[in-house]
Amino acid sequence: MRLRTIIPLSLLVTLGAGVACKKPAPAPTVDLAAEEAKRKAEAEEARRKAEEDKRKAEAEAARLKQEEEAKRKAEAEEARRKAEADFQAAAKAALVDINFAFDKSGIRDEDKAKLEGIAEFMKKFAQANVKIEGHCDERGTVEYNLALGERRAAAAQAYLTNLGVAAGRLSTISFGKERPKVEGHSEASFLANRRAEFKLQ
Amino acid sequence: MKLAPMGGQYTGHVYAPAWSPDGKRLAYTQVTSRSGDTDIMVLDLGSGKVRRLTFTNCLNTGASWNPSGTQIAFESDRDGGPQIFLMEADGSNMRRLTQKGNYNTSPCWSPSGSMIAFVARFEGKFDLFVYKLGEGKDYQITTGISSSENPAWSPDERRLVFSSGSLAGKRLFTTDLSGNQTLPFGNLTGCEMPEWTRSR
Repeated sequence: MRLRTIIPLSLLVTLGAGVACKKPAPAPTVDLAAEEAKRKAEAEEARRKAEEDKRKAEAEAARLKQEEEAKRKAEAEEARRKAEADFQAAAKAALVDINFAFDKSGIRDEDKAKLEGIAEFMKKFAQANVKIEGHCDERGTVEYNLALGERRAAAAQAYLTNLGVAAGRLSTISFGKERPKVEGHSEASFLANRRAEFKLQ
Repeated sequence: MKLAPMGGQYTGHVYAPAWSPDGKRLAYTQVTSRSGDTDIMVLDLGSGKVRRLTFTNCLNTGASWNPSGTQIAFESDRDGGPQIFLMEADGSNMRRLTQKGNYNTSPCWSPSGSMIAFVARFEGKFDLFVYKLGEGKDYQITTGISSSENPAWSPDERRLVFSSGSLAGKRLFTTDLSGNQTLPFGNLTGCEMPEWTRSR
């Protein structure tokens, strides 16, 4: 029994010795640290790339937004400029002088269409407030012409308010004979100077 | 300098101020209606109260006090063109002074109170006239000089100083009351509304 036990043991030893005596095969070398470093680097690269892509996308979005904003502002500015130009052109066309007979402040028939044009302009452009200046020719006294200029301006104002322009958008002032429009002492010069002027304010 | 605001219920433009001879009141013109009518007002500097002297829907302006401060001459177009009117300093006893022509303005009382110089549009030109209150008649002083305006009396009442000519080229002249001795006064141009004061 003992012998029977010893033999397998010896066999095992012999086999074991035989095995031990063979050159061992090289174990596979796995550099876990390198693998980990590589993985981390790739992850970092991916993260960095994602961030870069995100940054680029955000920058592009911001650029597009800025461009859009600039375009919008430019369009708004252009629209404002055009509206202002239209306003000024309409004002220049509408705000023309009316004239008066000597020592009179009544609105002449030939000037009523001009006043209607001024009223239409003021209705179209709500931002338009107008100062009406009353003027006289050089003849007559300073005091009387100041009063006459006042009445001429008031007559124009009353006509415009009757056409539907709010009185609060109109103001009057008289310069009497102190600011002639044209020089000269002919009847034509006197008529040109007996006037109401309409100025944006 | 103390500035006193114009009082009263009227808010229209104010111009053509004229001190009373005693310096206690100020007459002036004020716009009193939306149609641009103007009226003569008198501000009492002591009380700060404003009294409206004219109430017609027309132009009333150019107030000139008489030397005693009891009357005011002014121009008004209540009858059509401007004419010279008189009233007491409280606005009572108003009457028209000038009857000829349709454009008489710029009254200026003489130092003694016996005459009023004024400007009349006569034959298409503006000339100086003098109204003698004792006689109730006016006399033409200047002729042949276009647009003679803004008369003011010499202290001795023998001469008038006035402006004449076109607006930019207005020059000063003096004349005696016959109109025969009209003389240029200096070489300045662009002058108007002269005053003649006694040397001190």
